Amino acid sequence: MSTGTAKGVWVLIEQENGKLRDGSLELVGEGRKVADKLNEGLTVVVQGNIAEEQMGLLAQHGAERVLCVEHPALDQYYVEVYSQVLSDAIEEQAPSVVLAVGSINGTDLACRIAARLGTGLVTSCDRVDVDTEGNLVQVKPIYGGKAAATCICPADRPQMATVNLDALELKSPVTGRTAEVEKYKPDTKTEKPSIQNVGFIKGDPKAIDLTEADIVVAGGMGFSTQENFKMINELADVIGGSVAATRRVVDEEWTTLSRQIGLTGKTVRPKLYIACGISGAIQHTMGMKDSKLIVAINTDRNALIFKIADVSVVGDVMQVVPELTAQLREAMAQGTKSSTDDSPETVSDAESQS
Amino acid sequence: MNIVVCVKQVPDVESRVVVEKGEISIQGLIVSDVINPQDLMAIEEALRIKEVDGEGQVTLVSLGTPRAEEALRKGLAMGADEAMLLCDLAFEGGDSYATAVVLAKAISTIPHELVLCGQRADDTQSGQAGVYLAKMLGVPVVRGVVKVEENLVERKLKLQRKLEKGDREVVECPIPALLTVETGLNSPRNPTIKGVLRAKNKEITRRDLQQLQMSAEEVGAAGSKIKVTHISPPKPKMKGLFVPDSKMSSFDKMRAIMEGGITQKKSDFLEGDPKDIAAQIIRFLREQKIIPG
Repeated sequence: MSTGTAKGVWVLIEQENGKLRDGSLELVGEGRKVADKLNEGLTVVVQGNIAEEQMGLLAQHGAERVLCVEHPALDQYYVEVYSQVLSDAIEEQAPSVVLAVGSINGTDLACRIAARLGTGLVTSCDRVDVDTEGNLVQVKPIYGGKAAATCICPADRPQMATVNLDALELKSPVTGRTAEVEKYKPDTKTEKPSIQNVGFIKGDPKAIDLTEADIVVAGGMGFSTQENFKMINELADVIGGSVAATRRVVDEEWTTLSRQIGLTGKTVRPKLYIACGISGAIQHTMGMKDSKLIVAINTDRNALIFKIADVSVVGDVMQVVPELTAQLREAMAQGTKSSTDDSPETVSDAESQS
Repeated sequence: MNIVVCVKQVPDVESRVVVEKGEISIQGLIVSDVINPQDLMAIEEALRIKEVDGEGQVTLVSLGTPRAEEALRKGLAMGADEAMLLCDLAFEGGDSYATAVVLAKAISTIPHELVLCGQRADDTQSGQAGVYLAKMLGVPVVRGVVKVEENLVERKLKLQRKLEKGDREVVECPIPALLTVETGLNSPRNPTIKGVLRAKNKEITRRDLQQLQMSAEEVGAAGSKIKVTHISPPKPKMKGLFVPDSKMSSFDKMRAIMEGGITQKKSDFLEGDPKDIAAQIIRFLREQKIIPG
């Protein structure tokens, strides 16, 4: 598509059982920023239906229009069908920018749409912006993050980008905004999908590779004995994390090599890394310093680990870990009970709109 | 089964990569180029499937400079049968799309049923070329493949796709198809001495712009959709907590909320009664949406 007539910023988000998935609101905020700079409208596109107050949230974060895409063939999410339906919608309505969440399936979808439309896409962006000529600017890491490339898509529309979940920040919602909700039911004659979903295997934190774990609970020599070290397993269990260890722990044979983090072990970047009784020598921290959030527990306030920790606990793991495990057990049980209810904040925000 | 594997030679990203005057510079006395790690897994998988099938050829295709022959020879040494290097000044500076255009043209001249690609190149890190390529070849594509079970009788594949958190999606896909493979698929074999010797003398087919019957506008920088305007050093990672109220750090806010049981310290340390410590950690985890509540 040529640049001339394309207008509007679209943000593709994902929902699960009516609730917005991680990164959605953050991406809408990012889309709002781009739309403001381009002086164009912001449309949020989602498959199927989402709950009322989620709509409210989308509006508060900047959506002016929400397109709920429905098509019989989408009853089972065949990525091929969805990419075809969205590609047709994009061709018809000609937005100038399409942003998607940089999740695995979000990226898959964006790649397919870009291929169908023959347009440009930059994946895994850390940042998007608008330059003085009104082009979408996409900034992404290259060479393993050792450099950053700034890109534009000068001739093709829509300009597409997927944005890293890590790079997105939740902006403050603005109450009082509303969005127009439109049910989009294209009569696209969809091609029969070649790929069939036949199953799903849930990852067991006990069994998955540490590099895929979302939460890692690691133990070091602060436990003194193998028997004591075992309390790591309970903590990991309760929080749904995977167990990891320092090289010395593995050398002592308190756990297996596959659980070793560091220079001679694995490098991980989980959402949460809990370092229990770990001093934080560089050979270890090399393997986990890029974790999104680090909680460290150590008796020595001069321990190197505290230099990279987000939460620094000076304490004895023998006391803190059991207490944390017990309280987490309760917290998680409570959490699951109330997960189907609206959280208090959301309800009052929605109410304050009227 | 005849299988094509796309291979890219990349700098070893463990080597010193710096940005100098807006350009990437790889420093060191010995700069080693390697086969992109995920492409190695693609080669391994192709060899495995061919061995199971008992027939067919594995052909490696690479778009690169003459130096990329090194990478192709390694693949041949692992056991691949043929290799093709797409080499022309005009191909340089291309984005994923422009790379796919050239690959598609070349691959359509090679009889094949399956195309395997590493999902992501360690240098450019786009992870898209495979999808553009599949569209151009007119075949279905599955990304993120970490397990392949071939059904040679019914000519279809059962695949596991890597999702977040160690989850796997299981899909079925007909052959012909294109798969982009992810880390975790396999452990690539090492070349044997015999393989290395054989590869040394093997002729690598070369194709340039003219031989592929393409025009300069279709390829390289000219044929790209994406233009890189500049390259810069990475932004330092902001190690800090996002807080809605920027006047107070999340930590101070937490401390202000909780009263009693905490030792007031100038530093950021959390100390004192383990019960209170645990409660504060949980509060923090809730705030960060790591745990529900």
